[in-house]
Amino acid sequence: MSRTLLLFAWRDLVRRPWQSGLMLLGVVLGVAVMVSIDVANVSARRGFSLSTEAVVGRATHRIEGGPSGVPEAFYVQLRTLGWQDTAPIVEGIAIAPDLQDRPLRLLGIDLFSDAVIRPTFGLDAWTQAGAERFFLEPDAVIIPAGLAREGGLLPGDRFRLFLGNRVADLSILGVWTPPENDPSEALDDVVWMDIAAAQELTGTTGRLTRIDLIAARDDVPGIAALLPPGVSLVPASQQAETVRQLSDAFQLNLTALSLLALMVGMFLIYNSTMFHVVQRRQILATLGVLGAESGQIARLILGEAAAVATVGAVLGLPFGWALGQTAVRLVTQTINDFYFTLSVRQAPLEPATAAKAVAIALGAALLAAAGPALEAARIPPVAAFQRSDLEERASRGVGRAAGAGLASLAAGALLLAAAQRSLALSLGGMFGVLVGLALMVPLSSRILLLGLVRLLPRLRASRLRWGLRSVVRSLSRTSVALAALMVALAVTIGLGTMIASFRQAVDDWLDLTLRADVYVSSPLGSGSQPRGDISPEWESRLGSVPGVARVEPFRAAQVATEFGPARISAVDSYRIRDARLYRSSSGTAEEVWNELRQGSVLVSESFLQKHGLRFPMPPLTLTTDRGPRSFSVAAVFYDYSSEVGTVMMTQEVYHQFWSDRWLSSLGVFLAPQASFEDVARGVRNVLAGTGLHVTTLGDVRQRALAIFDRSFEVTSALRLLSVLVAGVGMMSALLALQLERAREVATLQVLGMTPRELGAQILLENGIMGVLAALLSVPTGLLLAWILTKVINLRSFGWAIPWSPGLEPIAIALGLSLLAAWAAGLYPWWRVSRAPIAERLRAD
Amino acid sequence: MTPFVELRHVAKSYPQGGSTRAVLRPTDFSFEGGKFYAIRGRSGSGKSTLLNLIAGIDEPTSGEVRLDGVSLRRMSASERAVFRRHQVGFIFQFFHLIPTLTVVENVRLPLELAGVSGPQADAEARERLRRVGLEGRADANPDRLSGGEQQRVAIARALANRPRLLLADEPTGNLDQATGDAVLDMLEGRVREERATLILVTHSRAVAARSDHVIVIQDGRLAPVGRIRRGGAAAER
Repeated sequence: MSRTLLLFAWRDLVRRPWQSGLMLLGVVLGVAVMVSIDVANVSARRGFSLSTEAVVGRATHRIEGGPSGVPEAFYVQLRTLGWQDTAPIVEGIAIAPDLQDRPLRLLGIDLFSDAVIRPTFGLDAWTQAGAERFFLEPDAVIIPAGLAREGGLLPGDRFRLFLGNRVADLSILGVWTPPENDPSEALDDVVWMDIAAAQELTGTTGRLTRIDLIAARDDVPGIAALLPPGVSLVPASQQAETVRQLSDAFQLNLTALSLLALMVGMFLIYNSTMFHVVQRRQILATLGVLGAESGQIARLILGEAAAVATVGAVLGLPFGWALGQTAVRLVTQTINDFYFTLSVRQAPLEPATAAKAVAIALGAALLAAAGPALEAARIPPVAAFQRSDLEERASRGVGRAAGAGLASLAAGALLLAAAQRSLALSLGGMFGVLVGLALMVPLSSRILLLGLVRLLPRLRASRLRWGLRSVVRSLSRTSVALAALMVALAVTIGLGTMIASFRQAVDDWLDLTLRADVYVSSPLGSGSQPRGDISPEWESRLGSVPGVARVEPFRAAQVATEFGPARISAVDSYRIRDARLYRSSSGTAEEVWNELRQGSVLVSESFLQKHGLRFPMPPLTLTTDRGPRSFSVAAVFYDYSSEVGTVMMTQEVYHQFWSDRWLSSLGVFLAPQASFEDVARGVRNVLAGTGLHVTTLGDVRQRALAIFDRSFEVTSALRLLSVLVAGVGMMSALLALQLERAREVATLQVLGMTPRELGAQILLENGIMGVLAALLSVPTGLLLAWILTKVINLRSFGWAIPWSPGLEPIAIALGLSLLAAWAAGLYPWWRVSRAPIAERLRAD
Repeated sequence: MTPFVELRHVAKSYPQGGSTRAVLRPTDFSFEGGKFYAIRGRSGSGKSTLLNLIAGIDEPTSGEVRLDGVSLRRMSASERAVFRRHQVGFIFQFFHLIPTLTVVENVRLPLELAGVSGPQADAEARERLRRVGLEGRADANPDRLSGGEQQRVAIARALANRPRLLLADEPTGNLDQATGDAVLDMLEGRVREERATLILVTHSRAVAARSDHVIVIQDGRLAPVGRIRRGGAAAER
């Protein structure tokens, strides 16, 4: 490549600092969004695998039971029979009120047997902390160094934990520092105590949560033959995999969103490069006349795009990492709210993430610049001097883009229809639809604008007509930016509508399910999503509070079904549920409830969807404490509390087949004349000192919706960033257009246009672009919302959400679009009113 | 006769490196209404600057320009724009047609700016084009026209609002002799018909010979040199 040609390219980039800067900003933002989500996802995944790996240790299998766990006697039997490589575990989820309500895992271990499975935090490691006291003191715990550091805790300090209805006041015996580069480094959310103390604390004396063991393949059948009813032997990795898969859909959705931001970024690179080529058509043609080969010109354009993309990607990396620190907090919070307890200590920028981001940005830039580079190389020097030739070529391109758009739209629709349960393919289909509609933007905007131009002579709005014509003429340069903005706005409308529809559905569902006046739950959960164990005695004790008409017990527990794990909701049989709660049923609400009372179960639609079932369905087999039992299914109900799938049954049926008597929450109904304040006060007095939460119906709803909103924080942030990227692109295109028109604008001033009139004209033309992008984004956004609610959500989480479009997302999109378009007009307007006309007339 | 354009101690200098370069030194000059003035001078002597100052699209470093008795300095940018819209027509060497507008739209633009309604503006614009012989190219894009045709469109646009002052910056500089002569005929004819003032910048003696007054800019000062005899001037072009 000639040195002078390189100099030409460099000086050209420097000579247009605003345009080059905005192009760079587009890449920086696109890369930053992608990197931030990757950092968050990779860190969350690594945090999860490390903590799983650390907890699993050398265990090959685990023996686990249903809600009541595994009888301790079975562990003794195993050891007696010679299975020495086994370790019992009692696990409880707790809340640390003194550490900003942080959720922690309480692990009760047998120090001697645990050393075989998890040598790094076995007996040897803790001898110095005082193994004797660990056994003897029922409140002694060991905490990891990370937790001690974060909470400012030292050996000898005391801190509280809420476990169900119990408050434990614990003493820190020692702080355990894991070896460097050991998976145990990730165990920042664990508190260890002696297994007997843990059993006492969690109220599971005589029961174990599970038994970890090292077993050769040949030993497995022998151990399996010994298992008591309701207890199963599973590979150690299986449970972790099941739990991990749960959050996969959530993380995949986030990745898709971040790719969307990059797609918008790609549009921008394409647009900026194309603009750059179009603006320099004459210079490039002159280079051709001087003897530059078309290949040299194409390489020059590609080189420029690659240079900008590389610089943008490198600048985007630290920005993305910084954004990733917030994203990881939001992602972890959502995972903690819905899936499992996860603590992510570090969210570093992995070399693989950085390399991927730079490679994708570079690839995208080269791909985006390929078209303009080819165009530049093919321009006949004579044609390059004619604007009308550019317009004709652009017109031909519009038809071709629309054709490609139709093909992409059809391919996307086919993929959506054919993908069935594959989320990745469904997302691919959605991308296809979106890209297809984006490619049709130049044609649809031309049709819309020309239609308006034809209509307007009758309206005598000459300035508007002139503005419209100007916008039509500039479409050859702006339609790609317009498409990018349309895509980003459509995503805003689509996600906004989906979130609003989803929120409405959850709100309606809460309305149907939450009927009590006051709820009592463990601090771990809420009335709508209870976790933790409450002693059953509280049902009668609360029932005796004056003014209480009835107490509704509720138990949520994890059980095994023939299709995989599911959540059991054991409910009272007294209150017949509203018919609107059922998606499909075998009869009226009363008939369904009667069937339930007689031993049938209901399954949630997410259960049905997750396992590809259809209603009516054959009896469902559940692993009970009495062994596998089949239950007929009376209806399918809406349930947004668990995406693993829920099986609802009455408390009576639950108690008939499971020994678990704990409760997860209690609903308190007021007597007709009772005062709410008096009853609430009475309930609080009775529960004083237990650590249980007393919440009103309103609070429960508010908390549930707050968790809902929190889980969409990262989505909303991504949505906003996509609009920001597109807004920058639109600004870049419009700014470039206005700067290019500097001499034209000066001519208009010579002809007698005042700065105010020119400013108004610039804002009018930019406003037309903004409104146009918003107008085009509305049908696309609503279609996107439909795909998200009816296809993506269903395939991600098993929840069918009614599609209820509202005006708010559309108004936000219009506002953002106009803001971006008008912001792009401010600098040119400022220039018009400041720089002398004569100077601008001389300008190139 | 009352001067239409008055320069009172007008000077213009531009910053150059650390110092300033004086293009026009303090000058007093009057241009009478209804006359054709030709401005000559070497490249960079300040001819275009003088036109820009008179049009109010550049500001003098000192002194003031008065048009029809009103000081441009006392006008705001908007007032100057409105004044230009009604009273001044400007023709550039490189035409400066708006590329996104068709030929007729370019001519219609100043009419619409002056408040002429759409259909009437369209009719008047087509009439102006007819007068410059371009009615057949009304709906073409400017870049499809030859240089001479583009300059005729620029003239039609400049004359659209029947301005009292016509400023032309080397209007024939990019045209061949025959086309240039035709353009000049058109300009001169319009000036005589409408009794407008034409101030035209040119390098050509032949063009200058057609004017009522020739003014030379030398060392930043305006010097009237009277009229140039027409004979033999053609050879100089």
